[in-house]
Amino acid sequence: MMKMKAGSLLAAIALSAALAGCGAADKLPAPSNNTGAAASPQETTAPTEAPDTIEAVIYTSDAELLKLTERTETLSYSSNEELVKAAIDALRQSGGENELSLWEKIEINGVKLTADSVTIDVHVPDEARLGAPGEALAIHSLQSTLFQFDFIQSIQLLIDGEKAESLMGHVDLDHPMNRP
Amino acid sequence: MKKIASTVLLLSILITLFAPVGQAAGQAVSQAPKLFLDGVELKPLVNPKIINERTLVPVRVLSESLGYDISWDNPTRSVTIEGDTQLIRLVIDNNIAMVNDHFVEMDTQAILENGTTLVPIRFIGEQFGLTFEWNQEKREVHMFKPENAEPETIAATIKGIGYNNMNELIILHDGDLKLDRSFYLSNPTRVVFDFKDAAYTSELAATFVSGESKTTLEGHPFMNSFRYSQFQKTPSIARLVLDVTENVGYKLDSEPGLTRLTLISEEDTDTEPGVTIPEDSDSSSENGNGNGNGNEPEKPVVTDPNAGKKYHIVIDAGHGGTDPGAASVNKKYEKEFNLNVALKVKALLEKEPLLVPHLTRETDVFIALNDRVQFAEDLGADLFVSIHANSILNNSSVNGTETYYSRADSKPFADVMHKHILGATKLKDRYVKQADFRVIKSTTMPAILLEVGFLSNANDANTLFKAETQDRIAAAIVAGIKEYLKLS
Repeated sequence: MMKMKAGSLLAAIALSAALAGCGAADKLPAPSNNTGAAASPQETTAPTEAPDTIEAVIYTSDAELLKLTERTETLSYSSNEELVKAAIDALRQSGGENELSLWEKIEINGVKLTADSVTIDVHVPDEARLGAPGEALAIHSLQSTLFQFDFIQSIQLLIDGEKAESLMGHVDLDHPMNRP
Repeated sequence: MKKIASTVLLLSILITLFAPVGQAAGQAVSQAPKLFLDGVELKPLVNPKIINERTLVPVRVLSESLGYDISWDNPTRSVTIEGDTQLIRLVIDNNIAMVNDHFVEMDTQAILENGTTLVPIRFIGEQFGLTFEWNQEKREVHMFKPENAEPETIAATIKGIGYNNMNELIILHDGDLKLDRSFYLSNPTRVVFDFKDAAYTSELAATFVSGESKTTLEGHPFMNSFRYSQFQKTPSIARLVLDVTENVGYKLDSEPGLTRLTLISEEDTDTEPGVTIPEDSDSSSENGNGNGNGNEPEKPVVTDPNAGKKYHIVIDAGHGGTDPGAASVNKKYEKEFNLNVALKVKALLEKEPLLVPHLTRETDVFIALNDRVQFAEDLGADLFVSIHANSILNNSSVNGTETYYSRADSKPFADVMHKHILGATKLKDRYVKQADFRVIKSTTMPAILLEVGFLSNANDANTLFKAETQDRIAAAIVAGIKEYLKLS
């Protein structure tokens, strides 16, 4: 589903880029639209409501649950919070057989970006629970995926709204997890 | 003291009696050589002897004067001499010696003569690093200990040993009393404690009768008496022997000037005897004070200095309660597997006299990771074993057994345990790995986390939920603990 979406977005982006060649020139340099926007580079280059895109690395597990693997996804977003949500959505999708999602069955209650801290509230149904190495990789994949964005300095991972000790009962969670 | 004086008198009579015999046989048997260790003459009860230009000495010289451990094996007619660095086995009338599992040819051999084992002193001494000089004119053998040999020291002087009616023996002493070893002997059943570099005050030693002080306890449930003696002089070893009706456990606590030996009845601990009792016909020889005939020293089965120490083992069944752990393809939960195995381990550990199990949970209840850590820390546990089963999404083919450690000091335990667990699961080897899981990271004793198999894999899951597999895994965990603690 995500792939479909990404594919159609790519088409839309290509189209908008073509259009920009003639009619969009007056929009890009408009500095007046920039007032009040967050001071991140993504925002400054995307001053309008039109979605921007970014090539993001999404972290997954290899086929044998031994190490993190990565794939590149083009994420579209209209705000940094949207970008975080898009990245988390991508984190919940597996790629190829060597790109297994560790977050697929974790339910996302909400994602909120406040200043440079992202708060993610999740629910962990029984079928989402992994063994110790899977949990460790899941935490690492979340950190690696989100900390690639410069505007995130910390991740607050809540479980059903609580600052739980652990996601799956092996690894202790820092509240929040700060950028290493 | 009186006893010692009369012994000396008896000796001189014996020597006088034997002297003419030696002279009468003067042509055949040369005069006995004298032995010196670092310039001090040794006077063994039975004279050394020179045969084919090699000096043979009574084996007891080795234990009493040189401090080696001696044991005699009757069926094979062999004597084993054990020091800090070497183990030598000699067979009577055989010139092949075994030195640390290597066969070495000697130009002489041990012999048995009039009930005394005579062994070639130079061959043995040189294995232990002694140097030898032979003074032909005076017929003296001079032995010298290596330069770096530790000087003889008395670290503790025992002032008294008493019983306080609370299953405690109280040892009053000056200095630092250190238990060298403890072991059981049979016929009659007794527990022996050897304290190294320990002697008695001259006042206390003066009360010894036949080289020991014995106190009989009337009506005690499992101890008939206790006695103590100076078992060995070089190095100085004080020996305490309890005559018991059953094997007992014990705990040794030290404070300045006082060591408390708390005895635990087998009934109280509900354990089986963990130390095999050797066949031992010579029931009096543990009070060896130099008067034995020297050729059949008894052989203790346990010589580990930690023998008798109880080890507290935390068994941590992962997850529980609201945290079911990984879901299994066969509709069971990881928490059930973990608890089943933990309870089986507990049952097995309770049969081990030196191992005390402590479970972080014994029912289906949620326990926070930090509480598991705190549980082990509060106990001052010796080992921590967390039992888990693994899971992965979207690849049901992943399978196998992993063992994790976090801190480097836990890796040896992980290595030993992994071998045993693999043998029990017979699943794929996914190796010993390092990862900072909370319960093995934040504890301070050797701590490991077992991911026994993958519940997301049908074969692993079916294997792990079989009772017989769980029994094997539990036995393997106990075997791993025992091997790591060198109790097996």
